[in-house]
Amino acid sequence: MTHSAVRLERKIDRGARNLAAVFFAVVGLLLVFYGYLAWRSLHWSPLFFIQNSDSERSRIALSDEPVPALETGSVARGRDLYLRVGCSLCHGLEGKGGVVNPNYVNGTFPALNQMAERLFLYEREDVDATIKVLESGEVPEVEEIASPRAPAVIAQYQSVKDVILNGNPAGKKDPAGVPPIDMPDWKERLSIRDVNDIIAYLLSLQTWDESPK
Amino acid sequence: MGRITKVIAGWALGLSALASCEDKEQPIAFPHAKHVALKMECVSCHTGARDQTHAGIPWIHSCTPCHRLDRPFPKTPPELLEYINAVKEIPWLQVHRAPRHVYFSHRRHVAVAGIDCAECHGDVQSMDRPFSRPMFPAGQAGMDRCIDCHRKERVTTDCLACHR
Amino acid sequence: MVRWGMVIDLDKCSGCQACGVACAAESNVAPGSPREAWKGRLIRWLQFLPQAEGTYPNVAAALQPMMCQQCDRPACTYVCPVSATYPNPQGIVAQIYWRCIGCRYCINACPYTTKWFNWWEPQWAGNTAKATNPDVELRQKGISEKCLFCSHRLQRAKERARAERRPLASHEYVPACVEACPTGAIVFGDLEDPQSEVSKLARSPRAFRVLEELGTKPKVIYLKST
Repeated sequence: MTHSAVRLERKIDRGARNLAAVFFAVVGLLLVFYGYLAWRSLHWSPLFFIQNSDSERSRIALSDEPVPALETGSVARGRDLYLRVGCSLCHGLEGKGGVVNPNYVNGTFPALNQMAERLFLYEREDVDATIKVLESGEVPEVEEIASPRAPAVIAQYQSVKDVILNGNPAGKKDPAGVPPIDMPDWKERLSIRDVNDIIAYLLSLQTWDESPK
Repeated sequence: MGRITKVIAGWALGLSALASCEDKEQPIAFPHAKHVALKMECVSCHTGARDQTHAGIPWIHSCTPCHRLDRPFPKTPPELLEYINAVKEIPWLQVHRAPRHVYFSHRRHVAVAGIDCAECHGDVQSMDRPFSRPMFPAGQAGMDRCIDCHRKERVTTDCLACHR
Repeated sequence: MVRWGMVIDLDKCSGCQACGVACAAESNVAPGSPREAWKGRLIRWLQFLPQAEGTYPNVAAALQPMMCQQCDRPACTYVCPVSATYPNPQGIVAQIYWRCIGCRYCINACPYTTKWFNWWEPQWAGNTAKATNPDVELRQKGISEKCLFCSHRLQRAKERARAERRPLASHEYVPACVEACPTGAIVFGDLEDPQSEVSKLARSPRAFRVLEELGTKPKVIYLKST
């Protein structure tokens, strides 16, 4: 066989070359990425991002003080009813009033946080005792209560209960003006127990200046 | 030239349609302004705002005590009276909704932090139309507003606090 | 600043596994399907390592409860490319499900194998999904999860305490496993406070940490059974 001086033509397998290039490029990029992750894990943490704003306000200081128990009972139920059923819409949050009733004699819907005084109860103990009675659900006979004011208290309670259950028209300031918003009747939505709970809550809102005289 | 103007006009119309798609139409044109003018408190209708995670949208019984009678004051639109008489819930469209991956507690912000409602929900007392679009943009931009205030007030910016 | 930690007394632990059940119930860990079990992919945030010492018939066996050790130098956080897991200022190693991209680097990095990956969508039979704890996210396919020391309970307790304008009491925040343990084997509290029960027990001569030599500084400390 004659060997002619033929320049060997190297046929480059482009497919294989490209494949190898892609393979090594991917591996290289992955290694660069891992290297970056490794560097980052040593030099950066989300803590750098969030720690600076941790302040006194976010600090947790544990104490051993006893935790007040979750409230149950008449006053708690009354507080819930007062807000959810809709009393606060007109009578304000915590019974503080201030909501305007156009052309009503007093200008605003009455505040309800002086209910204890309206019921002739002038001391914290009297209020607590009355709340207990309301909670038990049985209004005692007048003769059973030692206090001389008992008939007046009971009569006022009945009157408040009546207003809540049956409503009350609101007096006009200017007789020729638009009628103001009346107290609606709630007897279809509130049971007697609900009404007692609300009254108990309103009684609990009363504050007196209890500083020693 | 004519073709280009048509293309631009088409895009402009299309995009504006998309943008207005965001607006939601509420079933009744509820005016916050008139109610706030009477000094009604936000919490008396949005009862959960102070002591729950979600503030809540008022139920029909929030409207009934004053609007049940058809009187000159308060002015009651006939649709509202229908809902009240039928004791049917008004199908309000919820506009402010925290995304699923966010825990936002109203109690924490209202009762604990003492933030006024208007600070986040805007000048509600001058709004005479109901909310039709949220005050908070969705996505990353929405979180920026939260983080800005958290940083300013120096409270937690721990991811786990809100993205639990 | 607080650092939450846990001490598990292996003497008091009776191996009843109430903690595991409580954990699954509290954190919406799905029971899993037979297929997952067959593939060894069941998720149990609180798992039990059987430990046996001695040879038959003098075998002392115990079940060691093993949950995320909440390391002070957590290996999983070093490898997460998106910082979905990171140590939060209170020492809990947080996991943000919505940030996780499912790369599973953290699952691999954890030396205690207490990180779990959702290979499939968690299945909730019937409408048991409605009975899940609303405070805890329901995870999807493709994200990692792990024990978070019931940080949602801390959030609730802290919120209640702040709303009532009083400091948080130490007993108000206990993870579900601690609450469920009938023997009181698991004690939880603030490791930064030298007077807390957790700190005192952590200094006990019986105390040991799992794989301490790796330098992860876990905050779950075990008391050797005697």
